Amino acid sequence: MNKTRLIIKREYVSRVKKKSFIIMTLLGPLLIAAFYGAAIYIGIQQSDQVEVLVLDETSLARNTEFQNTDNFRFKTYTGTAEDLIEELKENNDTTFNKIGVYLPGNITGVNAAKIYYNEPIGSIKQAELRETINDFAEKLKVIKAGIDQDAYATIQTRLNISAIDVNTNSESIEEIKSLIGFFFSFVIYLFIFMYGVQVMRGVIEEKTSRIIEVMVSSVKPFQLMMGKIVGIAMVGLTQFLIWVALSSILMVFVQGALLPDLFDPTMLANVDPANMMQSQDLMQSQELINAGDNINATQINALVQVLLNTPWVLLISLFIFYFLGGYLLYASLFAAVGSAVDNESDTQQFMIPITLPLIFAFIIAANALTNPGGDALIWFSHIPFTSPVVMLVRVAVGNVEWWEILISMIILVVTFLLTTKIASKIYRTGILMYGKKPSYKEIFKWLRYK
Amino acid sequence: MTEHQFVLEARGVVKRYAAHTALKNVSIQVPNQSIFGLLGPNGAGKTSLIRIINQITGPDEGTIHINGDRLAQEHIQDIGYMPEERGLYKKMKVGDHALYLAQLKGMKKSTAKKELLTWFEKFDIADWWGKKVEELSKGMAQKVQFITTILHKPKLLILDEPFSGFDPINTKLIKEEILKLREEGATVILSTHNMESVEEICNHIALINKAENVLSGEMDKIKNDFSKNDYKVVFKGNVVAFANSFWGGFEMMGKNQLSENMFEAQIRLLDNVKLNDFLTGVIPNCEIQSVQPIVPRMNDIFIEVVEKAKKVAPTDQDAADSETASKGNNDE
Repeated sequence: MNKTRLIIKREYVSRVKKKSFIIMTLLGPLLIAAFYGAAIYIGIQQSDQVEVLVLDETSLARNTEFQNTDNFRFKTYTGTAEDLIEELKENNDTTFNKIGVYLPGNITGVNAAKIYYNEPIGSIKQAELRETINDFAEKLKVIKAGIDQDAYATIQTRLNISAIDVNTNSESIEEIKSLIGFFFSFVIYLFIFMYGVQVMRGVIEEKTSRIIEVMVSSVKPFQLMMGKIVGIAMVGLTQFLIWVALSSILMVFVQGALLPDLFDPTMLANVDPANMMQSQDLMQSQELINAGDNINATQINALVQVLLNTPWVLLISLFIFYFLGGYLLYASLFAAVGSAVDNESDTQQFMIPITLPLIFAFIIAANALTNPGGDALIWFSHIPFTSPVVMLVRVAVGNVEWWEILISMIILVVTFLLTTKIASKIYRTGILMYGKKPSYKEIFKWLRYK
Repeated sequence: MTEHQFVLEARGVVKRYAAHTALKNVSIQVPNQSIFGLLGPNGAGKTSLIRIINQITGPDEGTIHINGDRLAQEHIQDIGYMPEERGLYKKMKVGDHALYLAQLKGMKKSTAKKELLTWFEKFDIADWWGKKVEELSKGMAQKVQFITTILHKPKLLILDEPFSGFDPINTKLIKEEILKLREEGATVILSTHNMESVEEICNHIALINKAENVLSGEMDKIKNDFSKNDYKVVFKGNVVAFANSFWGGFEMMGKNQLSENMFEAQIRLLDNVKLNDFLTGVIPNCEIQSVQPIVPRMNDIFIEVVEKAKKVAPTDQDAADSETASKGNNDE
């Protein structure tokens, strides 16, 4: 036991001290935060007001039809379309963007208008502007058709439709939820692969450097193998926990910098579900008021709701369990492969049966994004070779019973005990074999050696 | 622990692999405080035996005894093993690595460090404590390996080709240390192809050939058994006259001219002829300078035994081969 601890310590310390580990560990969350920040930034950038020069050839319209908003200040332009284009071309003031809107005289007939720009505006702003122009054209048609404008305004409908999960009685946005689950699946898949291969490399290194025989004269091969596997697992967990900690800090920081309104402290304080419902109602009524011109905020609000509703503690605990279970299952097999060969280029043949189920599991998890309730998902979340990757998608979506998770866990533990036993027998013989690459038949024989 | 006559005993050890039998009923006895040469051609089964003693693999039949007790897990602490294929973790620091290996042998970190520093001084590698293993030359890495093998003061040392990779000065250093360890009470099993070293420091040997122990015992006795009654005679005078003074019972194996009328001849006395009879015959014909018995060298004994096995036992070997072949077939 004491010796295994020594081995675990060496495997752990030697890897955690490596430059590549430190860089990856620190860079990972920075990359995540950078993506996250970029995504938010692209959505909300150019929040400066843009001057819109409206060239209106329709006789009915008056400038007052266009209400100035946070994003746009409308101004009537008189002249031809060519003049408008020229003026926009001459505008080199990069700090103040100017765009032009051309409304042709027969707009209701051709159903077309034009937006001219020198500097492009963000897609969300563009959508808002299109909506405004659309409304303008609609109003024009209403007037033309002689319909009462007030009556029309009451007919115009924009419903706020929520999808409620009857099990949890909460509004669910399955796609975003399964995306969160898939993120965890992906990390598990990545970690099993990354750290499984590290185990294999470690074993090959011990063989090629000929340290192995020195080691096995002091410790049992099983201790050596388990020491390596556990040590590397701890490296993986360390990396994951640092990532979680750094990412949360960075994300809060990024959000705080980019979306100060959204993340005021009172909102963060309202995390518990009871309050969530209230704030949801509040948001919904606000949405009704701002219906139409606040798509941006609605989307982000929805995302925030999902993020706050996600059972992070459960997910992260299950992540740790399934990562360890899946990793232990695969790592001993990777160790066995490493023991059977003399160098990494010989591993291909033996890697295929190990990597195939892992890649398959990943594909199943990816499919869950479009069909989170599928039957296949239920099956593969119980099969031990795929369950570590698949189960978390189901948990994130929320359609899984606790006993299902328990059964899947038990199967996983039993299987990894079994594979570890088999793998250790291959390992024990393999590490002392040099020279030619063994065949599957030979490896099978090793299982019976004393 | 009571001292047993044999620190290590292998009784009827058999080890089979899928395609061949590595050890066929091998028994050896290693006396306490001996330096025991474990000899044999490549692939004879020495490493298999050593691995069984180190509990790296288990025997299919037979038992191993340490001081009379059946080999068990706790004996790992009593054995120091330096394998022929030896390496170190390249990326580790030399001192940390040595400490790690010592701790795996059950030493406390503080004691291990103290003793390691002494040994590092003694072997002139103290400056390398903080360097990385990959910066060491082969000889220096070997020194580190030797130190880590003996640091925990094992009762039984198993050294597989300990001198390979060492220059003559370091070879001498290691030999002296081995002898010193023996004096301090250790028993050393030396597996090597370097017969000069065997000659120099071993007092017991076992020769494993084709998975069997074909020759073992005290080295002096073995040499005596293999002695051919050969003598080296240096004389002044005429070679023809010297040769003519022979009659039955002597044979000249070779001769050398040392100077104008000085010669050296190797002669073999046949059957029960005494040295005196030979001298009586040659003294009238030449002037004897010196007469020395020629003791067979381990190298010659090794070659003789192994070659003889090749010639004498083709039938045995055929039988053995067909046996392993059929065994192999069964395994398929």
